[in-house]
Amino acid sequence: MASDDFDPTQRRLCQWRVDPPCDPNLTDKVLQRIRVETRPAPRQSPLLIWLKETWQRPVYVGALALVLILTGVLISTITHQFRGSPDNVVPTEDYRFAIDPLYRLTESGESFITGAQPAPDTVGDSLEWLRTELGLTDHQFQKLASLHEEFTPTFASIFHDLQQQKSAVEQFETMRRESELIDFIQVYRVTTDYRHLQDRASTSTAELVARVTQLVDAKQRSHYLELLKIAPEQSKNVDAVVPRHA
Amino acid sequence: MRSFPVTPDHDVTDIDLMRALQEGSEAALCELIARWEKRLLSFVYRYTQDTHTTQDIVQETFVRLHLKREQFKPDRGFSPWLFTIAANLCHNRARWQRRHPEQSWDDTSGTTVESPTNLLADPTDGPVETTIRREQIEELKSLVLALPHDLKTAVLLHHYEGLSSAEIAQVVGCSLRGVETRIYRGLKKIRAASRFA
Repeated sequence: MASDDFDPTQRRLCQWRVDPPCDPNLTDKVLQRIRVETRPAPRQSPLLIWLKETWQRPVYVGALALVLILTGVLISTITHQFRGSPDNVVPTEDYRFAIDPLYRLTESGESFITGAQPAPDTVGDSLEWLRTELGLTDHQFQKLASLHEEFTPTFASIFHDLQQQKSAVEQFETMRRESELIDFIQVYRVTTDYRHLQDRASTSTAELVARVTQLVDAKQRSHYLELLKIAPEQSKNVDAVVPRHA
Repeated sequence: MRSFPVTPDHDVTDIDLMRALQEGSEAALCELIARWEKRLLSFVYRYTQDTHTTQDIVQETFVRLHLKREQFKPDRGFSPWLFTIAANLCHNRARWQRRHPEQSWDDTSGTTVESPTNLLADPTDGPVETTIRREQIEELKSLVLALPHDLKTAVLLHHYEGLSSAEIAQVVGCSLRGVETRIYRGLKKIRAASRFA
């Protein structure tokens, strides 16, 4: 202890004596504190820790939300591609409308109501699409174009007749419901004519398909027939249209 | 924690005990507490002048001593290391006190820790001298309490704990010359503010 008898300040410092009481339980308290301090923290999953830390930072939350959204979009896009491009369905359907009057009549009845589908009388752009899909040579394309051109008036005529006959059948059906009298001869005539028209439509389409398959090679033929069946739920007549021998 | 049979033995130095503590000896810690509790209490009480705070800080000092035992370097001595921990805790508590002035450091327990010999420095003193001496010591306490951290630490360690200038330099974190300066400035401040100088 430093001491200087001549300095009153130092002398007073020497006079300041303290006697703080010792804590008899100090050792126990210290050891208890040490046990608490060194107790291993309850284990948490690293993912849970990461989520807790992330949640405390709004920027990270935003980034996480963005990543989740982008992931969702990516997954949606990929699954959409695996399901097949919808762009393929529309040209196929357009083509089916052009070469299958019966299909066109069946499907356009609903489409006209919704206004979702055009009703082309000609093959139009569908042939260009078919050329790309089948990988047709120029020679094949020219032959296919002239073949479809040859059938176009027939299909247009059949479709026109089918529409009229269908309308006649519906009118007759309405009339039959309203009156108690049934003209069986008229029933027979209308239904028979309608069935003949349907047969004619199926035969014409089948003939065109058969001739197309004769103009292409085996691989193209297989793909062509596959394209006609691409939307079977939209075409109840596809089996009738595609010849069994093809 | 391993238990090493460390019996009170003056041949066993504090450095030996710290090595044993580093190896996991609980008994070594108990022996260090027994050896240093009184000195730490004196230092911390003079620094804080509050009984409860003193006991808390002393307890925390020994807890830190254990938790930081791997950082202890024998070549730097034990007492500077121990007093560094205690002085830092005192400093932290003082800063916390300044930010929370509603919490007083004043000793409200009514327990006096001043030694009765404060008033018996000279048995020949009469009542007047005793009263004056009491006033002088109360003034000294308030002046020491008002000193800045490094001046207060240097003065207390120099006058009461008998640490060398080199050891105080480690605690305060300055050069040997810096220690002398701090002690000089601390005493000068007390002298200048004292009514009894």
